[in-house]
Amino acid sequence: MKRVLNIFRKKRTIGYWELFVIFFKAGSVAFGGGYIILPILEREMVKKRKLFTEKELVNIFTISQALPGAIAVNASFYVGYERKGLLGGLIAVAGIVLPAFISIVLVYLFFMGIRDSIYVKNFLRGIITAAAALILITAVNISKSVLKKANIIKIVFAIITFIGVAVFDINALWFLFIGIVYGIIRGFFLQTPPDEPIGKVK
Amino acid sequence: MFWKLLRLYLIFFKIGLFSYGGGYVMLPLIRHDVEAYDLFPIEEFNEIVAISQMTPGPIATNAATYTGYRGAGFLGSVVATTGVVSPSVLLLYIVITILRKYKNLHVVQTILDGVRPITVGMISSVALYFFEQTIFVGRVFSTDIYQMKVGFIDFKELLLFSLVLGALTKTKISPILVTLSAGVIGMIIF
Repeated sequence: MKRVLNIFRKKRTIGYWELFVIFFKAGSVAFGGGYIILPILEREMVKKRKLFTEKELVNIFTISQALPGAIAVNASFYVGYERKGLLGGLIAVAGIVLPAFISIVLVYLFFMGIRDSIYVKNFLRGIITAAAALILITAVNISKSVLKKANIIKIVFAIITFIGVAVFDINALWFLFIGIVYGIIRGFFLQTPPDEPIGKVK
Repeated sequence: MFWKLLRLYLIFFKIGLFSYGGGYVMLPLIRHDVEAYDLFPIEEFNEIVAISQMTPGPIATNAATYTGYRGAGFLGSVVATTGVVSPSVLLLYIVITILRKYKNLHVVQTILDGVRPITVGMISSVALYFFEQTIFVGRVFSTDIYQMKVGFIDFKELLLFSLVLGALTKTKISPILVTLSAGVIGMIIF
């Protein structure tokens, strides 16, 4: 049954142009940090096109934030590369970077004066408020899908990381390290299978 | 010109490689190189921060575009932006190739499985941070008492936030349209 579903899923592909448009749109509203593209990717890639599962998307963001560079750029390359190869990855990066590129050149050339405009400031404030609601919904969706069948240890991990980072301002890398150690112990000493494999569906 | 462009590329390649932990970490790095290589007058440096805040996209690429443009015109901005994303592309290419090769190893799967709840916790903390910044215009759940703002709620923000939340969960309007509308509403009510 699972294999049948996988074949069905593999058929749902995406063209280069479509890929570019999705990332261009995501890049256009990506104010206030790399995680803001996550809600848009979740909608376009998981919900609408079913190219990735929620857990695969979480894996992509995990690896993207563990590497140097902007999270949004890393995640874009990863998503594009996973489904459309090297060219797909580069197209996704171009899509995410171009809106910023164009707007900076335009602002520099024509709109240096609007920097202090109260309307621009309030427009951006409204956008950040929308971003707050978007990321809240995504956080709830992702928590549900990742923690639904998780054991108690993983639920505790998620809660400790949440409180540690949000309240105590502890560097998230420490928690990533704990997760890796737990994964290694489980992989070598306890032969329990993981919940869902990552990678291309074969 | 060629050498100037190559230098811009290498400067931003280095910055992309060492910008670990958010865009603001790399601003001092850029400042140093702008001064060291005399790319443009250092007094203009604050413009980078100002422009980055009012344009979309990662601060890293925004700063690269601006610095490149200021240093060597349009071509300079293309080269600098390419430079800052190059390390991301190269490193991910390597990591994904390795992951694909070993993805069937049991231990690789359990590591990814163990790390996933950590990312969930981190995304949730980002969500809480954004929520605090909009509704309370500061931190509420924090051990840093200087950042704490208790008893202050921005009701205009709360109204807009609820409106957006409702539009996103109860209707099928695209998130991008909702975001832009929120910007327009922001211009009117704030």
